[in-house]
Formats: sequence, C-alpha cells, structure tokens
Amino acid sequence: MKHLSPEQLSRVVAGIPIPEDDHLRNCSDCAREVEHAQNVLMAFRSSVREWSDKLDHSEFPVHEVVASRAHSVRAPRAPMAWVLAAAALAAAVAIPIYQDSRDRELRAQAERDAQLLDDVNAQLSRSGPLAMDPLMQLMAAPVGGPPKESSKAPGSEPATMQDKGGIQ
Amino acid sequence: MIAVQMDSPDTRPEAEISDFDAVVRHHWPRIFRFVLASIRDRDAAETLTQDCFLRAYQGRHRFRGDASVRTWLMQIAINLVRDFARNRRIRFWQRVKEMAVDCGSLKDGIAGCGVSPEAQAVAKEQIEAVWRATGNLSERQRTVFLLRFVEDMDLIEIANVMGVTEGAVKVHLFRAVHTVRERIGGMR
Repeated sequence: MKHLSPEQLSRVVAGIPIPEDDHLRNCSDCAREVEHAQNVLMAFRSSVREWSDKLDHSEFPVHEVVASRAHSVRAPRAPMAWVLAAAALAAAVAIPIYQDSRDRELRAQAERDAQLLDDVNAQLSRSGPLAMDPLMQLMAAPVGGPPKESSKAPGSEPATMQDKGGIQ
Repeated sequence: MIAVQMDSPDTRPEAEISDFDAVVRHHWPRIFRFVLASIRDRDAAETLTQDCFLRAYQGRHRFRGDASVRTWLMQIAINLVRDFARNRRIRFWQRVKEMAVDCGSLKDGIAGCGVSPEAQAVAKEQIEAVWRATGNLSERQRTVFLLRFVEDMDLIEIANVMGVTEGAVKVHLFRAVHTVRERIGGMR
C-alpha cells in the first residue's frame, strides 16, 4: 500500500481536502500520523492559551484604560508631554548642581594658581638650588666646628655661594 | 447604549459596537492572545492591544457591520503586529526574549493531563518545537497558523481578516503546517 506523502499529510493536518481522503480511513499508519500532528497542535493551542491567560492581568481594568484613552482627545500626545515635563524637571535640578560644582572647581583652581605663583616666587628669590643648602651652611660655618643655628642672628640671610667664592 | 448579546458576537455587529466598553471586555482576551503569540512580548502585546481598541474606538463610526466585530478587531490587530514586526530593533529584542518566554510557558500547558512524566517531557519538547518553528515562519504564514490553530478560525474568516483569498490562506497554511511537522517529526 502506498502511504500518503509528507506534503499530503500536511494538507490533511491543515484541513485542506485532498483527493486521497479515502486512504486515511483505510490506513492506520497515515491516520496515526495525522492524529499525532493534530494532538501536538492541540497541546500547542492549550499552552498558548494558558500562557496568555497567565500574562493577561484580568484584575486590571483594561477596558477602563482603553476607554479613558479613547475619551481623551489629547491622549496620543500624553507620552510627549511626559517626556517634556521630565526633561524640564531634570534641567531644573541639574543646572544648579552643575553651577555649584563649577564654582567650587573655579575656587580650587584659583587656590592652586596662587600656590603655584608663591612657589615660583620662592624659587626666584633663592640664591641657589635647594639641594645646595647643607653645603652652603657648612661653608658659612666657622672653621673647627659645625655651624650653629642658634648663633645666627635672627632674621639674618644665609650666605650665598657667590659671597663665599666657592662654587661658581 | 444598546444592550447586546455578547455570546453571539457575529450577529448585529453594528449594535454590538455601540457598547464599546462591552466590546473591549469581550474581545480583549482574544486580541491580546493573538498579539502576544505573534510578538512574544507581554508589555508590547498589552500596548498593541490597547492601541487596537483605541483605533477601533476612533474608527467605530466607519464600521458598517459588513464583517463581525471580531473580524474587524483582528484586522486592526494584524496591521499593528505587522508594523511592530517591521521594526528591526524590536525584532532583535524579540529574538533575545524568545527562548525565555517559551520555556516558562510550556510546562503549565502540559502538566495535569494525567500522563506520565516521560510523555509530558516528550509533549513539552514537541510544543517547544512548534514554538520555535512558528518563530521562523514568515509573517503571513505565522499569522495564518496562529489564527487557525490558536484562534480556531476557519479558512474563509482568516481570508477576510487578512484581506487575501481563501486560496492564498491555504497556501500559507500548508507551508506553515509542513514546516511545523518537519520540526516535530512524525510517528514513522
């Protein structure tokens, strides 16, 4: 016996009549094929329906939402209005915060600039590099003993290398 | 408002549409289910279903009653789903979500049928195969398939809803079923 082809079986499952309909009544193999596919499709339908029922918020009064949207003339513009309102609110909050942080940053920058200027002035007023200070103190000290800090007169300037005729 | 019998939605459609609140209550589950099965995204399905009824409300004066309210609403829903599916970005997210949605939904549909755990596992696998197969169908094939096998609509009604001939519906349905059968496998 020649069985129905996969295409013919698909037509039967889809509910499309085929000339070989009689074969299904006499062939249990083909009938079982069709029944198997139909059972799977029925299970599929049940799963979709249960899934949909589960996700559909039945307690949520959707018809009222739709009705309120439908009755509101301006309803389609509502999302844009919300976006604009949110943007305005964000700007109102963000601008003062930005200005405050900008002021703080400017003040800190001014302090850093002043400190840098002081450092530059201090460097320019020095007669020699900072690393040479111990050597210059040794050269300024009297022979036979270490230099005595306490013996220096208050407010006296340290001797420069040029004055001592040392390092040129 | 005109009181209508909601159990027979195909009779006196122009009267039915006059009580729009009842129309929403009665047809919401079916429209939501079709949209959900088509796009597989609950939030988007809810939004599209709302849009469907909103459009219906706005266009209710143009409804002449030539078709049933169900057919008319389904036509709107199909157009909305089609527009939605054409958005490539959304399609990307739809595919990302696809598996998570399917696996969570199938178990409940099989449990409690009084069959063995092995048979349940096989059935679950086959339903998952149908889900995957429908995800790969063309838009028209999927729409025809869902209307036929989930919504139980006959071929003529599907043709009316989709605005195509009955012959075209048969072609799409045959291709869809054949693809699905190849995925689920046969008995022999």
